[in-house]
Amino acid sequence: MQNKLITQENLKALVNELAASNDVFAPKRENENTVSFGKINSFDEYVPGVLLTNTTVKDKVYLQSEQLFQYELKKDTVEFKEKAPGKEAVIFGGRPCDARGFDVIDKLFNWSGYEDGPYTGGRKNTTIITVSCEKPELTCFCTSFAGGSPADGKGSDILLTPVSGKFLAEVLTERGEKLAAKYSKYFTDASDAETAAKAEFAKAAETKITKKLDLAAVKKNLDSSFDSPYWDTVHLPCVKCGACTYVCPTCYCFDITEKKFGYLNGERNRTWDSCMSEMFTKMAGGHNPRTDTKRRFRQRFMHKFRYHVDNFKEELCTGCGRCIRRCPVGIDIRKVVEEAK
Amino acid sequence: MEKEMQEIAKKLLAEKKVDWVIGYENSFEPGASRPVFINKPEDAVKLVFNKSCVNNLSVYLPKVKKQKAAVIAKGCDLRSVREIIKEHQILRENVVIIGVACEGVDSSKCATCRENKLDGADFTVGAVKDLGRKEDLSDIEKFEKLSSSEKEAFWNKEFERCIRCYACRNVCPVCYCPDCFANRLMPEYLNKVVNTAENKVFQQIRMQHVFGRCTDCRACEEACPVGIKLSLLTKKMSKDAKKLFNYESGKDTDSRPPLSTFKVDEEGIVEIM
Amino acid sequence: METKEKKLNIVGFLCNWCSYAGADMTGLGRNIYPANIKVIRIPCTGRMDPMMVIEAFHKGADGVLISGCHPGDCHYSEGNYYWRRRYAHLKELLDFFGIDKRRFHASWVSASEGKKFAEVVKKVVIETEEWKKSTLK
Repeated sequence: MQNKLITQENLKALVNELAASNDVFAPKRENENTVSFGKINSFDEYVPGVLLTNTTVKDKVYLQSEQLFQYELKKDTVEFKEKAPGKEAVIFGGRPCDARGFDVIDKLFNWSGYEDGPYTGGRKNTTIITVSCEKPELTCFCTSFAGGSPADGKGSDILLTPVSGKFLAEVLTERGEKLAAKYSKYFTDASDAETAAKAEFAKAAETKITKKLDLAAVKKNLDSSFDSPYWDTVHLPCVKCGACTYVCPTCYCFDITEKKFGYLNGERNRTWDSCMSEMFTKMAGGHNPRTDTKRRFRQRFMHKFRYHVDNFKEELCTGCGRCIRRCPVGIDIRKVVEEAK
Repeated sequence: MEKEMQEIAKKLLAEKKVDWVIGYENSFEPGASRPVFINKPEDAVKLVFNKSCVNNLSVYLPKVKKQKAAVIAKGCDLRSVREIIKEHQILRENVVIIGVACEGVDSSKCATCRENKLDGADFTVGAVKDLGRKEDLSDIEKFEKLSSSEKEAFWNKEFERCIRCYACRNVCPVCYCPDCFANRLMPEYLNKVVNTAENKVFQQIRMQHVFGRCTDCRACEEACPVGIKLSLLTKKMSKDAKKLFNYESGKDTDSRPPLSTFKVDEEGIVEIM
Repeated sequence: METKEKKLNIVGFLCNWCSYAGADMTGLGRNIYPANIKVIRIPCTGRMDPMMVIEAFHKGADGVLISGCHPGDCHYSEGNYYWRRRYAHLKELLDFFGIDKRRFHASWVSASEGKKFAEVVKKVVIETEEWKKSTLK
């Protein structure tokens, strides 16, 4: 589709109009040092300057705790009530690495012909408007991945890039087209010059990324180092909390639990689970094959850069660097996988 | 000061007096540091100490178990070390305390530093200066005066964004229980569902469990990925321990934490019918 | 569908040897006390885990009462002394979290104090009601 252009004022008006009739989630300030994705009622609540929000956008589509169904025991039968699909939502102001996360886990939730209801429903109802990054941080490494870039549109419905004082709006999907058509009064057509300016922007931003992982070498390292004594020492500073898994755009593991409301009814829930938790591999009967802290630590990196690659031909990582920033003890995923031998 | 620390660590490892030295090393960006475990004398050059060394390294001591470890400790960390020794999570003879004179790190807690003295440390690196800073409980007193509904509304807003990552629990030096209540399914104290009410219950129970043992080191608040104001709770507990039981945690290694003991004649602490 | 009147929910943890027997005496002596209280028998207040108090409030209790033997008369010698300390700090901590002090009570009721138990429950109900009214304003 033809690239569009939108001015700062029109963008503000667009977001305000969207917020009036939809749930719009954007980076919002929670306190003096926390900016997270929250529901905004107007453009003024949006915090544009923060590159890496504390948490990612994943939990707006793939809810952290999701009710799968409610059950009620009747005289001879059991009655099930599934949750109604959610409202239409817009995620505004995420970064390419956040949006790319959806592209990665889309393949997991639609695999071998099985479509995950709650996740797919959430995806269908949500339009993702991403903003390109001008000044990547020291922890960013999105360019390490195929097609990854501070100005890449994978996973986004509309990608906004600042060019000549306005924003180039690349409409990349059907959902994006629907939104652009509905609010076409705010958009104008972009010229070739502006499209070229975006390419310049992307190149400039990419050069600012200081670290690029050699993923082939990383895969080789991990393929050969499972039993290596390397893991005996590298895991020691990790406190096995789970902060990294919960702020990651691509971590998807979940647990299913049930909750009773009295004797006759209850609900079944799906909640995120973290491989760093001891409970992650605990089974009915009490057996737990992975209680060892070293093994749990090793598992995370193996999954992201080896097992997932073996199964899906791509890494379970988008290079956003949140795990590095939010880790209480500063574990650097890049260092860990590069030095694995 | 860094050189001195590196020399001490190198010597301890070379003479096999310890199996591990737990200190700080340079992190992913200049001026940032993170915990490091060293077991070879030649790696001692990795050790640094600067304003970014905020982590409380004593959290690793209960995990050292039968081995011997040396730990770099600031004044505030030393309190946690004493508390861990007091609770028999590590034997005194198995830990070598390398105290570091600190004038404040990049943390909001330093403006109200209660103690940077290094009494009881095996080594002291640098000269300890009296910073003349005092504890400031005015924000606690202000919060206490709010009505219950206002307090509840405040905590509801804070815990709405809690993601139950358990970083607060895992970096806490006194949260060392191998089977934490949060991990138990039978009976289920804490449901796995993440919502404001359950998040509040988790923190209420955790705070109650660490009462009297918490040294207000702020590791929990620093670790929280979404910036929940846990320091209000830790300061409140520190205030209550002093007011109700005349107890300050981390002062020595032989007094008993307040809830593990009792007095037959409590000095009129509470009205019971 | 009939609407049920929302009654106050008070959970009472009574120690088996003194307070539970005392509550029995209340009934035997035909002393009337509010029916809002739901009694749970525990062996001793020393067993009272603060976690249970927090869970009770979480599950919807409006008020919680813990009652045990008088200090010095504990059936297990010292249990109530430990409980006394836990109560002191728990009341402060819960109040700080927004669980009003008027909702959480403790008492010493011996096996013969049937009348006292009735008074205690009445007081708990009155104070909890007071708190409940203050939230509706």
